[in-house]
Amino acid sequence: MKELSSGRRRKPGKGKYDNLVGYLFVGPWLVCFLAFTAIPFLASFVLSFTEYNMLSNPTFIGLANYVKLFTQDKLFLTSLGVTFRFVFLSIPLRLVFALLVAMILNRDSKAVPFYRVVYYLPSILGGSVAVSVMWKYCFSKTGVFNTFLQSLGIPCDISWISNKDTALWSIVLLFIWQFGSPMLIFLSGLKQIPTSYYEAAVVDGAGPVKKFFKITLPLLSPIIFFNLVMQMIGGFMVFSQAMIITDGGPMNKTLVYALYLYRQSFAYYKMGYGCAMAWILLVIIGFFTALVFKSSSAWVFYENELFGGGNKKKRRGRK
Amino acid sequence: MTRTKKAIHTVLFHVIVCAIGIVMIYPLIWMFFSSFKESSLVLSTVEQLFPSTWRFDNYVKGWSGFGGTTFTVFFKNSIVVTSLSVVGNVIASAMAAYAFSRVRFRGRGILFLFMMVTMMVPSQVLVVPQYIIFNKLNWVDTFLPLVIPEWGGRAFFIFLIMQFIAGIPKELDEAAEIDGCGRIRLFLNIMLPLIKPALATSAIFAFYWKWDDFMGSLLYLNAPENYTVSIALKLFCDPTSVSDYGAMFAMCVLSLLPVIVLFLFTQKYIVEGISMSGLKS
Amino acid sequence: MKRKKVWSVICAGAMVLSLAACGQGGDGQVSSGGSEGSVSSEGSGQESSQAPEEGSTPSSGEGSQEPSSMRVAWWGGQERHNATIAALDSYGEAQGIEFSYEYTSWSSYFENLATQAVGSNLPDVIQMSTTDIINYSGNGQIIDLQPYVDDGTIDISNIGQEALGGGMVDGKLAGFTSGYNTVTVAYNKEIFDQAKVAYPEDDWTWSDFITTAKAVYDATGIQTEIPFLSEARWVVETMVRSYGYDFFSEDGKSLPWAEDEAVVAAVTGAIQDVYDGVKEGYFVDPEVQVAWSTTEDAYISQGKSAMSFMLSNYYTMYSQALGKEMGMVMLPKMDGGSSSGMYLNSNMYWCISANCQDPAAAARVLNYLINDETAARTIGTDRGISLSSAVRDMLKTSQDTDQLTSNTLEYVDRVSAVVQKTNPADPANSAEAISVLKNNYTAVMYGEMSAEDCVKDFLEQSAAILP
Repeated sequence: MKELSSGRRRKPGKGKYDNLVGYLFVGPWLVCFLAFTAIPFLASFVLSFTEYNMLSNPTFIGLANYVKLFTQDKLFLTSLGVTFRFVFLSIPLRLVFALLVAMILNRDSKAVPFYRVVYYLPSILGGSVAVSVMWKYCFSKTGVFNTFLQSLGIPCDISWISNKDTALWSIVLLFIWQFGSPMLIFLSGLKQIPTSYYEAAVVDGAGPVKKFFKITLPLLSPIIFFNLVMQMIGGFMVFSQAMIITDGGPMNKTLVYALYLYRQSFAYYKMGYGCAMAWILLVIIGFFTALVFKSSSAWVFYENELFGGGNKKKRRGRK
Repeated sequence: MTRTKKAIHTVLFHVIVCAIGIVMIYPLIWMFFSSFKESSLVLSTVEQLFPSTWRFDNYVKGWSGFGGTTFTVFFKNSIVVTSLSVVGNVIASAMAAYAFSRVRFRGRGILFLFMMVTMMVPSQVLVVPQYIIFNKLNWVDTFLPLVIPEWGGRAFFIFLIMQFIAGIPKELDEAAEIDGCGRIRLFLNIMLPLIKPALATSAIFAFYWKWDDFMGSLLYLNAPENYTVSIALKLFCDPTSVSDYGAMFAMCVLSLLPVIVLFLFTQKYIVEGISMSGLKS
Repeated sequence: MKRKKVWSVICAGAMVLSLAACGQGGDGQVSSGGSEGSVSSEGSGQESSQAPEEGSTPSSGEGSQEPSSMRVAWWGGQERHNATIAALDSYGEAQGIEFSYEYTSWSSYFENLATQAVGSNLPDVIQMSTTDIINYSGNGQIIDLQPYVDDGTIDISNIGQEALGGGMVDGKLAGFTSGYNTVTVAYNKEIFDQAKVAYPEDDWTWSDFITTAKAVYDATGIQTEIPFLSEARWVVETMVRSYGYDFFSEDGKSLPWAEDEAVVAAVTGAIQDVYDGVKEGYFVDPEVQVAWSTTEDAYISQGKSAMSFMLSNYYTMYSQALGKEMGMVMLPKMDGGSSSGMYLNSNMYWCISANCQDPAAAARVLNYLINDETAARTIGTDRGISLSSAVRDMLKTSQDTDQLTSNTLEYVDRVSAVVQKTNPADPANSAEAISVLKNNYTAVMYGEMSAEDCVKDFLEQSAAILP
């Protein structure tokens, strides 16, 4: 996001016009943002210093919620641990899988539009009952997956969704299976890469691997960056997958942070506490997002600098 | 030789993609066939894909809804809410994305930061303050709380479109400005066509997310006459009584149709591809 | 300018909070802090019109007329929705009330309700659960129904005041029990016949239960389900009750049995028994059982287990899934216990919200749902076994009542002969404490925790959790 951070001003006098146009364009967003997002957002911050059961007035209790989280609440750390494991397992796998499928489906063939629908479909099943039934059917002790392993000669009779070591994996797998949205974004990103670059590369005698690393990856890097940031944010807030498959069990092995936050807020009527949890999550996600943003200057390339016309500024670490 | 090799490649491609594809959508296929099973057999014969007798009354029973409110009402509500949301959402997102990427107005850095940060708070804690606002506006039990906020765009789409705009050479803007092309015309005539894939992607997501949105709809719609499909689908299921899985799956299948149709219709814009080289010269 | 904007946003946030604080206060300005003029004018313009509109729903001020409209909220499945709507529609037609129904699924019902409470926007008549009622009553969101019982609006001549105890919270009748529910051990008669083991009887003991499970397994290889793996509280509650203790103290601040070492040891021993059974194989593998979520998943409904602990209102469902009529027997009493540990629970409640404009009319609706034969016939035992003996008798003799339902009715009669008091509603913060017990109990069955640690840790943690 180099453009945002650079404070470089162009011609004097242009600024006013830019301000006008800028606010005209962000106007709708800004109005809705201030009215419907910013205020609740700040309210949740203030509420995190209160005891608030939603059914009566909040009472100010200072930092007590935060103190309790860090000193007394065992499940807070448990759920944080589960969430970290979930994010670091599922996000890279989901992105790699999404990119792989997007590249496979990025070709011209009559059947391909149909395939795209097929691969996107799992994502629109969302958290429906059919998904949880199927997951159980596949990954229970007598499920399809074990039958499959046994037919390969691997003796296996654990219940994947309720074994204490594998339960989280069953949720990770569901998350990866619903890879449609990053895939679609990769696909549209791939389509934006001008074919002339590939043609030129072929003339230069580049093979598919070289094409991938020299053209696809750099030109797709803004989209990879986007997907990484968004999937990471989404991953830290994962909720419905854990809710429908295991509901946090067994023994809190799949109690992801958002699920615990939800329980505190709505099942235990501790909205103030839930808000405190939310703001700790905000700090954590913010930290990792900032990390990705900071690192982006080293690996995200924008069109105009890679193949730009006049000013070929190579401020980046590597080409 | 190369031709046979190519043919083998093509066949291999289709076989592999099809095989994985079937695994991917098996749950959907299963749901589809289950919707024709007798309701009590849906979960007791999970391993059996095809119904032993085909029954269509699940669709009739499901469609009849609850206490006289049928799925005709739910579908109508969903279509109204979703289509109003998607249009506003995509337009506003594209506008904001353009401003954030290409217009150097004061405060855009901090606004962008705010936009990103507000995405990082779980929606569960925003629900209550948001409800207070909509309640004070007297919007509860109308479609307004579901539609109006969408007219500001969504951070996800704004950021997405920004990433696409970042891939468009800046010289294009500058050249257009020298031509005396105003910012608004630049946006409408040059930028929008170039970011069509991003817009189409956003539209698909915006549609699906709204169509599938359960909690938001439930909070703000009290009367069943205003319920959307996503709420209605949950009404079949209750852990403390017998759930009518046949009817539920029947309605689930129907509720997926609009999403699939829209996807089929829109995907050509996603994959159309843009010849940037032509523009550059 | 930038700074100004940030501040205005913060101010706006603070205002929202003050709105949350005063709840129904109508004078707060929601979006006046926002720098965009259009929003704030829109906001304040609407606010002023809010108060009268909210109050205008029930039109009558005199109380002589019925209000024109009433909102009723419940959770459930399709059958409950249809039955409840049908029952209320016929009442509404006769009384000139226009009901507006707000029915949802269980999973999001209370999230929705709490949010509505924030906006002082609760429905007039609310279906309430035993775990949540304490929060609504304690914070004045639902009203005391006793005055309406006293003045006869709600007729309890076929019920009796003692039976209402299930809805008492802090000395107030916060909710009217919609029906009884209790715990039972359902057993598959065919498997018992096959194993040549005698059917269990109501006065059996915990060790009888263990030997029976073992005997059936030895004879047939058919296991028994782990008692209440999904909600350990139900089984521990009967254990402590057979020693004469309540699970939660009356003030809801402690577990009265925690100090009695004999009871704690007995509970620990019983949990150990179950784990021993798991290891020896006559109880179902916990990894398998924990994954069940629908009726069809459970072994009992597939004929693959001999006995299953369940809530009595599930009996019909499981029997239907099995396709056979199962036996119903009370939970075993502890060997050293003085009495049966059985208890009657409220399945759920009917409540009237504090912002109901005409509570008397709402109380009449409750009376209809509780006492009226047409309503009872339409709704059946869906919300539990009716408190009213008249309704129960009517259902028993009714043509529409199937065998399974009359089994349940008969079972509840048996239980109510042994149990005098209905269990009170759960105290504040109990949900969190109960979830600790559930997790520990599961951990024991997985072999991750000893039975001693399970009980000890639960007692320690709940001491901290309960207020």
